[in-house]
Amino acid sequence: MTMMNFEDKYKDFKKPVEVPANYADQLQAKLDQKLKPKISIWKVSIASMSMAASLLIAVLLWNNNKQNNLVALNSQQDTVVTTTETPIDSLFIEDLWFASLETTTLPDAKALPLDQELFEEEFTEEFVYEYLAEEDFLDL
Amino acid sequence: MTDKEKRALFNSWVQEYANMIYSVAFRLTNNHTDADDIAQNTFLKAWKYFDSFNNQSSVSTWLYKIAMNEAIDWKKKNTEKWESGLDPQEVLVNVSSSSYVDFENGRQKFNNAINSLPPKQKAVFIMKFFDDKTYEEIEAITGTSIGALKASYFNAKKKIEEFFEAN
Repeated sequence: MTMMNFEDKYKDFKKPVEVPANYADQLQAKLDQKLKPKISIWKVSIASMSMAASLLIAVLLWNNNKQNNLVALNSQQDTVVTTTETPIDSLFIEDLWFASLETTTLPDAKALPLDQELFEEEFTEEFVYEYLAEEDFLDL
Repeated sequence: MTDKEKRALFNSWVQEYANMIYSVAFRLTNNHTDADDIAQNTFLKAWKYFDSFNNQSSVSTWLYKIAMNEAIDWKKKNTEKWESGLDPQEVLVNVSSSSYVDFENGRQKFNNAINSLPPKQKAVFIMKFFDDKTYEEIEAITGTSIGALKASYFNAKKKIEEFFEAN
């Protein structure tokens, strides 16, 4: 049996797979959901917090020049939002640029339940990037 | 390339190759849920290793290779499904034409014959027969020599013929 004979014999079974309608869009939506940054919110106690910059202070940590771990610190709400799941006290605190914030330590970090709504409303990645760019924190 | 540029490029791959990846995954698993899982895992892995893609092969070949590996992994976890290859959705329940029934019976038997092949041989057969891949493309995907691929495809066809004769 030659290749052509075989393929001719069974060519009628060679119909395309019926891919679900709009499959690419469906798949894209699932991937978008799975690739959303993992968010952790940490409650921190910093005595001088109220004396710090009243605006959002955000820093971008470059980890091995590949993965950027976004950390946003909101001085008014005493919360830290990070796209990593790394406990805040094990981040590279010494590398953080706190701008006018005088506090240099972040003691007693405790995890809070995920507050997705807070993140979506105030701490979107786009928002932080825009803020950083506007405040010249980053040379984007 | 910025993260946003990477993500935009990645999303364009999803749009362009989603159907291709789903199709090959479906042929290997014979059901939608598993094919969809493999497609998702393929693209998630592609994103994870985005920076390691070096353009030495085409994007489609790279994705195809990931999908094949995902399918092989799936097979290891679902040997029974792989060997039966029976998809309830594929079973016809409302048929009115005897010739159509004959055709579908033949197609089901053909699928069963393919599903009886060893995993790698099955993958080679699907790439060659259904997707019209060249041996060079299959070599790039599997890392198997062209000579071995030709032998694998030849043996697959022989086994399928034998399956038809025996059933």
